[in-house]
Amino acid sequence: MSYVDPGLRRRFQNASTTLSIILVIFAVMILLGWATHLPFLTRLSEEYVSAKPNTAVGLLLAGLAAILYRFLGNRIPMLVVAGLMLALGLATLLQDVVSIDFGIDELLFSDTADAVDTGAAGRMSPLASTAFAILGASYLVMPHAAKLGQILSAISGFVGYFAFTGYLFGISRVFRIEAVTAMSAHAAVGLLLVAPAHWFARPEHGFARSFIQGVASGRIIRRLIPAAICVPLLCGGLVQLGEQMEWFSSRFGETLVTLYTAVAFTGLGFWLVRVLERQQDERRGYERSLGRTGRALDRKKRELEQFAFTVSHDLKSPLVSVRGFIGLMLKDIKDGDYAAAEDSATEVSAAAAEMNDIIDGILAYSRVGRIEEEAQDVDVVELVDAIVELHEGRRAEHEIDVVIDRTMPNVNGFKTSLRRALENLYVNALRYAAKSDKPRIEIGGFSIDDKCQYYVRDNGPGIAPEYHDKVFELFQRLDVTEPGTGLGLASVAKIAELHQGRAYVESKPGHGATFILEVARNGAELRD
Amino acid sequence: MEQSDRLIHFLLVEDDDRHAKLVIRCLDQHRIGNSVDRVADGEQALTYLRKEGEYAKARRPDVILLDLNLPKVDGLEVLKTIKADESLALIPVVMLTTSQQESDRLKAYKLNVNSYIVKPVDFEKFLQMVSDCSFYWGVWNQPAQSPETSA
Repeated sequence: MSYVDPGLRRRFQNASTTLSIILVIFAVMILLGWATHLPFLTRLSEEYVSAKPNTAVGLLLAGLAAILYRFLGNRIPMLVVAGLMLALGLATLLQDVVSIDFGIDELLFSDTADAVDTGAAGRMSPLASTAFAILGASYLVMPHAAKLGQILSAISGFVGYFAFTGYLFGISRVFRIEAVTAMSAHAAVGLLLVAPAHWFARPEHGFARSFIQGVASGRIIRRLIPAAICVPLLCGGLVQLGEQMEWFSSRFGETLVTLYTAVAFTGLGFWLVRVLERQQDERRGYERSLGRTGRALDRKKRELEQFAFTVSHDLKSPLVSVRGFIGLMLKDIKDGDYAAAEDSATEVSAAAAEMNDIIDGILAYSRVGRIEEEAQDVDVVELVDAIVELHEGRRAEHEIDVVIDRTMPNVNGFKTSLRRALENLYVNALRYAAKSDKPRIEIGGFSIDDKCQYYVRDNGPGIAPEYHDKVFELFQRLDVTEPGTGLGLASVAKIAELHQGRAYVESKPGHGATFILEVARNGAELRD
Repeated sequence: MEQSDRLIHFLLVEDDDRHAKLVIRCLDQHRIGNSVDRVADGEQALTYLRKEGEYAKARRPDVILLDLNLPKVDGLEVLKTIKADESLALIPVVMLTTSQQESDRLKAYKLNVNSYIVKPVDFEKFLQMVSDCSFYWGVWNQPAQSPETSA
């Protein structure tokens, strides 16, 4: 899996280019030193070996290769520069191996007469030539084997690291082989830079990719590798300094090295654990939210399955009636019993009407929350008045006393949906209040915190507690002697949900029922 | 009295009025010597069978035709209660339903239903089904030792 962070990639590329420019400047500086006979530009002091002109050329080529590689990729210019680097390194090395002088060492400038630690005049150290050869090869293999290329450039980098450490610890002469040139401090510093310049010119390839990942592994490697390279150098350097200045003995220095190793590993261990723990926390957070989404999805899926199942069942039921009574009717007609046939026809018609009601109900239910409607301030009292007016015939027929609390709060929501919800509740109440001796319906509402509650209370037969949830489910009808499709209260529940609220009923059998529609007071942020 | 001459008594548990009417008319058509009582939900069915309240004088049915989806107490629950009650367990129960879900069928058989019949949409099939199950469960398959026949 790749978690490459484009921002990090860019930053690493910029770092690579900066290092490359430093390399180029560094190389130019050395060449200038030779051109202008300013020895301080080419060596640390008279006691130290100078950086040879061809070393500068090698560093220049290394810087150029990284820049070309970054901006042009594996194209001819980069490959040419890398080839030159390889050729330079191999040719110089070959001179040392077979003791032939190709005359390339003093091609640009003649070496000085006071050169120390120099095998042949103007010739760079075999370590440096090896490093340049390997580095040239590393660029050349990049198109085919990025990882191999990076291993090769890392090797040339570590050659520089090795020499640099030697200079830092003051032991460069120890590694000097008689008759060949030692590596100059300039070359050591330059070679230190070539590996990161190469790796991060295109950090999306090979091992370098680990550095630009925006996850814990990336965080770890970005700190760990620089620490692994710099901390020993720093500590070793300090110990060395202490010994040279005779602050303490070399035995004590070794003890200090042991100590810093222990401290560094301990610190590193804790730091790694912290990074991993943070990652774990993050993942747990994601998992939790994923779990929530998954559960919501599961619920929706179950709802859908239930919906399909109940729809098919509920439509099938009147269909059985239609075909059954038509069959009976045909028989009745054959028998000449027209009264019975008429009765069967009535049943067929009623069953067909029932199917129609179910289909209308399903449409209305499925439309809840899908109508493109803007949330608006809804005058609920006005809405209720309109609903009561619409069903006046029904109300008058059963002489139902309807009381409306005119102090009901307004709400910001979807007007059509709210109207349907309240209408469903009112029609429901009309149906059941009618069964009472002195039928009465109360409609009202109030606000609590950021919610509004509206209630419709009837003094009908009431509902036993075990059915309080069931009445809001799809196609659940408690009283089959009453008309209805089992969709009305389900729609109310869905509308309540749409308004970030809920619908519920409070009732005791024999004491009427109060249906409550609770909605968020402010619908402005309903559709997010 | 010869068993086949007995008046078979059905209890029809059906919430849909039209389905109830249809079943009753089909039973009439076949002139299966019968009487039918119909209740509309599971709760009433149990009250009827236990002869409680308004059903104190109800006759013990010879066959129960039980719908699956019922208000209040659903068909499977009624079936379970009947089969768990020693005095009712021997009454044949025929599940009559529109549900074609395999899980419902399996549940019903696990609860020892005597027959499970999906209501056919085709009228002739429906007629045949009602007649078949009334003959089969009402005439041929009467339990030998039901309390009322021995009384």
